[in-house]
Amino acid sequence: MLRMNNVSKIFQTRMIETHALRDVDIHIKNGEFVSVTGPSGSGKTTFLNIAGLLENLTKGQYFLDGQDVSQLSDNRLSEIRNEKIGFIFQSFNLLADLSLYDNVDVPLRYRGFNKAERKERIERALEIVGLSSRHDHLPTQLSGGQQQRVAIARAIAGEPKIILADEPTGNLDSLMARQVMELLEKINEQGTTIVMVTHDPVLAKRADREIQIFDGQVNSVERDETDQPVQTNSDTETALETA
Amino acid sequence: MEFGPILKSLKRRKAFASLIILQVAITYTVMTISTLQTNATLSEWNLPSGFDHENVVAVSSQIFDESVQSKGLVQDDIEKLSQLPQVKSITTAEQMPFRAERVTELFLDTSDKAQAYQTNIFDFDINGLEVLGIKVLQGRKFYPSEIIAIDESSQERPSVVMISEQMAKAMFEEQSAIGRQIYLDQSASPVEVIGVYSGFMNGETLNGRGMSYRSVIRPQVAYINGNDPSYLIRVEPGLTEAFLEQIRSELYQAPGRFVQRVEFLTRTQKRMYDGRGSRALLMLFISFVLLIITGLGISGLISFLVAQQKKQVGTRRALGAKKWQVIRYYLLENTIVTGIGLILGVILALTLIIILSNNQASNFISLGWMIAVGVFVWLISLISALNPAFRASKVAPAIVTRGA
Amino acid sequence: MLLYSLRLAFKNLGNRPGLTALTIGAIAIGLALLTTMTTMSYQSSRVPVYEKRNQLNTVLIDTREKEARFADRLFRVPYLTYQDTMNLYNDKAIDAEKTYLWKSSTFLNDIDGKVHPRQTRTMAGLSNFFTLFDVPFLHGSGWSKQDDESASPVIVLSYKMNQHFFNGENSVGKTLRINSTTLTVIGVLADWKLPARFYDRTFSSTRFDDVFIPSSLAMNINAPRFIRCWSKDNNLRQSYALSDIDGLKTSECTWMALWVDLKDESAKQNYEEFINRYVNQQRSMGRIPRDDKPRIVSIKQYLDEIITNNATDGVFQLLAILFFLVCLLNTVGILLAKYMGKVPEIALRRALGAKKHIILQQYLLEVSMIALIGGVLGLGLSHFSLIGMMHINIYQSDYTVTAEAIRHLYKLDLVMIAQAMGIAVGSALSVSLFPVWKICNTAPAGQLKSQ
Repeated sequence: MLRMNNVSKIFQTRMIETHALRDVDIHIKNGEFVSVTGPSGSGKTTFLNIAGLLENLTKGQYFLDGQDVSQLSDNRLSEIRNEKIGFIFQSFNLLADLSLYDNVDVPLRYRGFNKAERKERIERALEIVGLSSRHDHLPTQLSGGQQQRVAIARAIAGEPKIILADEPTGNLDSLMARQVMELLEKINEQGTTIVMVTHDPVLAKRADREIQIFDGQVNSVERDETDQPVQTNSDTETALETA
Repeated sequence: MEFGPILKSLKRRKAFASLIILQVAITYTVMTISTLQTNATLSEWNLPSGFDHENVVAVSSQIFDESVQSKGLVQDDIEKLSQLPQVKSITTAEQMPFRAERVTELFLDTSDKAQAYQTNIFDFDINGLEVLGIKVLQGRKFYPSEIIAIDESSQERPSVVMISEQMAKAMFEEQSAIGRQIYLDQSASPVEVIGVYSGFMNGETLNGRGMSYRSVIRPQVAYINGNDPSYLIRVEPGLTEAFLEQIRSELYQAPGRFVQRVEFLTRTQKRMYDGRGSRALLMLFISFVLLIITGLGISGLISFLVAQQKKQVGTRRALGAKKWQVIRYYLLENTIVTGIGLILGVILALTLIIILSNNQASNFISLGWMIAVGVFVWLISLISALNPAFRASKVAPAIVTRGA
Repeated sequence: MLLYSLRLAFKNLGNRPGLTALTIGAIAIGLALLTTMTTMSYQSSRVPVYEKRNQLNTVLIDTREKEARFADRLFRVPYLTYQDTMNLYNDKAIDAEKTYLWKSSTFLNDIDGKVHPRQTRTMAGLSNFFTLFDVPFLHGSGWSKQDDESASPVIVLSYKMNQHFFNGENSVGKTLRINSTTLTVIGVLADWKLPARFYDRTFSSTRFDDVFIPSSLAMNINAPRFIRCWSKDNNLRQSYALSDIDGLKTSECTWMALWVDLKDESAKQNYEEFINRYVNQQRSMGRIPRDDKPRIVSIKQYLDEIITNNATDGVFQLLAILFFLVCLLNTVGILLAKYMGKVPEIALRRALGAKKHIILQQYLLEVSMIALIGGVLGLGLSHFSLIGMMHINIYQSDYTVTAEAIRHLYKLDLVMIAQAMGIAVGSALSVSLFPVWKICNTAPAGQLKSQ
């Protein structure tokens, strides 16, 4: 589903070069539920941005759904984001002026679906997240957990191949976090690949596989029946993670 | 297109939407009122003169001393002025181009039902055509014997006239005017049309009625005491005010007279249009300044909104909006707001025009102009929104993963 | 706390200077236009002979033919006929000072022809014209009642004419000619700053009379009259205007203005009744075909009517007000946008304990500062735009009026300055009060959460 070969991201300012990602090789299979962990500043967000085609990579190759996306035009990238990727953000990023219904509608409009199809998809998506009775509410009238469920509905309405979730539970209390997590798992069971960036080791372990990023480099950890402790990269201090 | 969502989102931001709507509405009102006023004021404005008026001097004087005899004075004037080396040709003139005010009605017969054709009659002597430099299109010029000098006691009146091309067309349409009899006065004998000349601007009175080039030239010189001696003089090109002063002092050699006006016809022409022109143009200028201010204001306001909506824009981009779709979103939003403003503006403008024009709005309102102004205001508003919209399209989608 | 707010407000102004400049500029330009227009109308609506504005009344009798359209405006009511003027002037039933006058145009020239002659606006009237209308003299005085009766060949010159013919020297006792009649200068006016030439009902504010002569004399020398005639008289109009003065006197042509000094309301009422009786009596004799009531109108009333009906100025005024409104909305919109962007910050401050009114105060301070700076700039601008308007007026008249003659119409004074500043600050505050109040009222919690 997602394959990165030797991907690097370098931020260049006048004085310094920052290597946000260094020679990252990642392969995520179709239907996988992968969690991405790592301390603040490790490059998690950069990874997510590149994976989500929100940022260009500096070096390397990136295949999404079998297609090389490292050299595409901005318009083409928008189309791929729209069709193949669903986003879930830590701060929900709902459009405050629009109702739930219209929020879910946003990507579908860019997709060019007709009205009837959009309506059907929106209703199905809101049904899945359990908010179908609240079409006309505005985001501010909802609790955080509900808002995140709307964001999930928005992400799945276009039936993307892959969902990229950036700390989806970061702003939620534990009860709501659990609900959101269960929802994601349910979606994953339908066959959608999910990549979830998280701080939370407990949540991370609920994924099929955990990818750890430290200092721009990747260390993949297969989930084990014995639930052994997190293996860290040799030259990075574990203390960072508690920061 | 995304009319629905934009409308809904505008509803949530009523304060700003209404600020722009009001600005657009009032700007449209101001622009429309000024444009319509200007349009009404400047109709038939700055039309071509129809002749080479650059080097013609117009002279009018008035006799206040009853003992001065008109005939002698006029003949002296003509002789004195003709001797000036700069003078090419001179004629006495009753009425002048650009300021003819006396309107005469012409008729083709003496019946009560005869149609009246409004015109200005210009009395020139034999040099009239030469001074104005106008072309004879059909027929012939006057013979010297046809110039009639009239005074208080004389009975003879000219029996021939020339009429302008436009006058001929009005009276005879496609038929030839040459040899036709017309009545300058239904109670007097008719006169014969012997020539047709290319028309010249007569004056504000007929110009205002859309009959700018209708005129009759009558070969007549009046030596009547109490009449004001007036002349038209064709002069060498390139003369200045000093020459006018020279004429003035020549004329003041004869006592008992006031020299009212010695000026180039260019100035007469300018005066004909200036009064109404400068006011109307000022109004237009003011409304353009207003339009610029409104444009800058809209631009500023949208910039602010865009700056505040960066995250929103980023979210849209992440969800699959292309750059041009972001631009389209803002331009569409702007068009909707402007459109509402324009609708309000039309209502406001019509109301005010009807109040201001004392129920005579119909001679004033022009649908074409109202639409044109609307389109123009919309364009300006669109241009104002362009820069912020482009800025919005440049928001990096990666903004969405940045912290709250 | 005020100082703190003031400092914050100043800091805010420096924030995004381009937009601050736009808001200030918009207020300045809008105010400049508004002030220009209001100053012009204010100056041109100044009341002449202010102390007597209510007691000096002119008599209006509509003696036109029956079919004529109703005179909905005062200037459409014709002047008086000679008969009516004389009947009313000579009537002794009511004790009030009266004077009559008429307009003429003559040629003023010196006998030896050294100075070029001038076409002169001429007032033909009575000796009490000068006292009744408080006319200021530089040299000499007006003529006497005796001169009225004997049609003495005397003339009073305007300041301007005395400059032209005598270089401003005291010309009392010297002679000049009107057309071909020699007259003795009896007085020279000081520079009479009359806001409008009210006495002949023209209310012209740019063109003033050049010479003043006794009416009896003017009739004797056959000075031309500006007359309007109806029906059968109309054929003789030309001759009535230029030569046949005796015919004019018995005709129904109109050309004279009559003024009556009525000290109070009851005198005015009395006189109104008297005029009514007079007109009815004339009607019974077969004159005055229309049944419009005669009116007596004071200077003040006349001027008010002119001002309220000045359509062109009305349009300009309206445009100026709308213009200012747009500029105001512009400024307020941008300021509000700025504050809207700060809602989270405001919410935070409120959460940190800032009271609602403190934030309100800060906003209002910023608005006031912008309005004040814009106001001062706007006043400066309007000074120049008034000069510009004056030159446009001179240009429009093709340089027949001089800057000296009309400068007073384009002058900013303290009243206008105070009014402009008041408008700037007051309107900016009042327009933005409500939206700002709403912003300040946003619940701190909600704002913090939705982020």
